[in-house]
Amino acid sequence: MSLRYSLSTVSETDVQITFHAPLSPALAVYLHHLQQSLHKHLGQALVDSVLAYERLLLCFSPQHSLSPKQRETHLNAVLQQLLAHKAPKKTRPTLTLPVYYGPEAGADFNSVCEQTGLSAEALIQLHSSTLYHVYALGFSPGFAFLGELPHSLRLPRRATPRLTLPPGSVAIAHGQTAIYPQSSPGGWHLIGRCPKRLFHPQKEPPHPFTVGQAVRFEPISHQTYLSLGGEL
Amino acid sequence: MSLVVLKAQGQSLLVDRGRTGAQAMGLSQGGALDEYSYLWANRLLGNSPSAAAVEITLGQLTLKAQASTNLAFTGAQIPVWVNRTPIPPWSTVSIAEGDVIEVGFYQGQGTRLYMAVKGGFQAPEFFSSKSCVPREQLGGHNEGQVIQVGDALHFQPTPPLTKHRLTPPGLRKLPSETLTLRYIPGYQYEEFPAAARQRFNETTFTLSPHMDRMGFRLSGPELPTPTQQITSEGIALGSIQITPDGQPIVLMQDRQNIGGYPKIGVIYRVDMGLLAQCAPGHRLRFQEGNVEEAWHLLQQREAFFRHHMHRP
Repeated sequence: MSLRYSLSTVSETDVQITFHAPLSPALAVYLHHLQQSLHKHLGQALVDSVLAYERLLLCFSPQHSLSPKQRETHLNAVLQQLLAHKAPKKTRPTLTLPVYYGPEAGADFNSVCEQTGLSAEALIQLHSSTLYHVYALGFSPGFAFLGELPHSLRLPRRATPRLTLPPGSVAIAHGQTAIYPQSSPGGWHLIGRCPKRLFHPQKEPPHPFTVGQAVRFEPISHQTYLSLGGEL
Repeated sequence: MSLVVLKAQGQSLLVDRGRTGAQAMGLSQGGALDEYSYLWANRLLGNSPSAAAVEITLGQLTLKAQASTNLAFTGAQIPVWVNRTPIPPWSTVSIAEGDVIEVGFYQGQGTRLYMAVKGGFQAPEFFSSKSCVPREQLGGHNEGQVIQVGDALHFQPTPPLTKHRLTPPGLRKLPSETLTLRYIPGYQYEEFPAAARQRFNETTFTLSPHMDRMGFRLSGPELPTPTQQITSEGIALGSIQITPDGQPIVLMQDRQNIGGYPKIGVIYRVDMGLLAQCAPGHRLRFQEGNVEEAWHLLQQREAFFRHHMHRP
């Protein structure tokens, strides 16, 4: 893959790689694969990394003995080697998450219908028929930024963020959608709720998301939501 | 065996050098805010530099020992008594079964006191770390909870040290009245209007009361920010973000892993501990530096603490 990139020094330990390519599910899958390969290649020198959209932040150990200049030379060599390889054909299976849509589970459901001019059925149909991909992980444990939301569903964030919202809330804002795994503050529009617990600190990995992962939402009824352990 | 908590009024929690591989999963790094004082506490006891210790913010923690052990206190000038006898700062102290350890209140010089135990505190690990991140309710001695009355902090008992150690007074670091923080200009530095960069370098800011383990807000004259919006990206420890109201916020150990505000640069890692010791109202200035110098200083610090790691 002839992917162009640039390296930027961030700190004593951190380097930001910006990839100059349009954001797409294929790019996200490829960059996640590259992130894994970099960890394998660099071993304990690389203590952490953050892949978000078209950028990858590499966090080196404070004990790493290469100076920032030497580190970038080494990194360029490793990247050139890794970028010569194609992404593996094997992709992770699509993650399907059940969602109970509607005003009972999503406090903004009716206002989203009003603002978009869509009927309840059309909103559910549109949101659940789109295949999304994870572009970044963060905000709170198990929170995945999913894109791209269909254009007719795009709204700016709520003018006043909520101080607290129920766990499992399925929300939209701008070109993205997500599930809030915990009760937390949030400024996105709530349209439904997922009954599945998405973050288990005891499990390895503690949540099912990786960048590039394909995600689909499956509409479920009030009854199914409750039977799957959902609370209202 | 353990230290049983009789009183806990400030914020006390278990910390170490933070998680590895957690930010890739969308989680916080966590860890001691003043790494220098934390590293000294472990060094005084001959612990591993990453042994879990207690970070006590503003003091007010009372503990009773269930077994003999050895402790070290470093960092803020907060008084500590063992059975009502004051103990010297930045030093080790032997504790017998039944002893009561009382940490007093903030004295205006440093906000964070570190208490290490010989062998390190025992707690479950999450992403190779015992650090508590209260915002995420993860880690620490009790599933992300801060230390509360009735809790037990576990350790392996040790006989009294034959030789007590202390940090030479010249090596004890606390912030000066006006603290100057050196920083590495970031790759978004040039995107800030020249007037904003100049104002940033010349202003004496004050630390705002809006500060926690995620970030420290500063107040000063409004800084114009770049017009171009940035997509959320991974953010380094010590990043100086400028929020839309033109005020800086320095991102600390419990920051979210990604953020979308423009960043003027990153504070030297070796200066971050001094910032962590400041209280609201503290005067802060910034001095432009470079990554090579910052890296050399960090290497020196790491080598210093690695070198004496296992000395008894």
